[in-house]
Amino acid sequence: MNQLEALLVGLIEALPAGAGGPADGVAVELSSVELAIPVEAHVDAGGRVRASLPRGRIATGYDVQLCRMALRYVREEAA
Amino acid sequence: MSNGRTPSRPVPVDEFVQAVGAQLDRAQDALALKVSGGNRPLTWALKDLEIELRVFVDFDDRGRMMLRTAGPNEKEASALHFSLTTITRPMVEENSYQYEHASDPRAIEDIRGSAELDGDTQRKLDLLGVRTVGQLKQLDPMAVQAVMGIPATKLQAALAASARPAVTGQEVVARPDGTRLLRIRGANLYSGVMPEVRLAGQPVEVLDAKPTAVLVRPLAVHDEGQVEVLTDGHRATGWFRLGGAAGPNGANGAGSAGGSTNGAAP
Repeated sequence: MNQLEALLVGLIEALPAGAGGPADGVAVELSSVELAIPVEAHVDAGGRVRASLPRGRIATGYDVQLCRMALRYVREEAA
Repeated sequence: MSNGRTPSRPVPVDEFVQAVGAQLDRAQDALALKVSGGNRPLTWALKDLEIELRVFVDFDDRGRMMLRTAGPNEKEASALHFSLTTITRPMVEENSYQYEHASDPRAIEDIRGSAELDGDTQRKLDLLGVRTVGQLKQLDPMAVQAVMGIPATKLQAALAASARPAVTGQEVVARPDGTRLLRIRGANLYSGVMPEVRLAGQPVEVLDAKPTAVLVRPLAVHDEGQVEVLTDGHRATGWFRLGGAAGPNGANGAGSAGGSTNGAAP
């Protein structure tokens, strides 16, 4: 599992920020994104959350119970 | 790193919340660096995060709430739902104790020995949110006895111990004219009458005095040694170190330098 911050950054990086452009004559940009996803999450010895997306369709009797996470990202001007 | 398949060690909830806060700060920092391409300085910011964890909740022998992540097949685990959102600096300042403005910012731990506070009493004070001696001084012993069961006599003894002067640190102050002064930091160093201060056994001029700091002019011979502050019939001791070559009054024109002392009050 990854550190929570790596998952948070990786999730938004995986999404397109927009579509189109000058060549298309029109452009669309995302202004906010809301996600509600299942995750494998674990609190480590330092209290940090380690989390990753579920590992696919092959479930075994040893899989941990999935947790849920809801996130809201917004686009804003960089400082 | 755990693979999530073995039961983990229980973690105190406050450590968990602090760790998650630090993780979210790191995520925000990383997102801020990923500025949108071209000349459009836009970035993503994480505004809200809700996370539902499958954990077992327990209390340790100190009464702290502990979390342990559920392992495989542990279906009886609780679902803990945390909602985190971004808040502004004024909101943080409004909802947290301002340690820099405290009348006596020493930690309760610093007077634990002289005040004879046992671990159980300190834990109860911690539950009340009392972490500094300044906060302790604001308590009404009788009210605390009624609410938390800490004997009033024990608190009164702690308050008496906390009222004694103590030296906790020093700072060398360089003036534009090259003279060098020494600011002695501590608690209860001034009670309305100028304290008497000795550096390495020699009396020195006291230029300014406040309960939390005394400003003195060291002699040319002073470099390091014991500092003594006598006030209100009590004596507090520590150690000072000016360091460097002598100037007009033992000064070398160096900037402020912090240093710690042992600060033990007899």
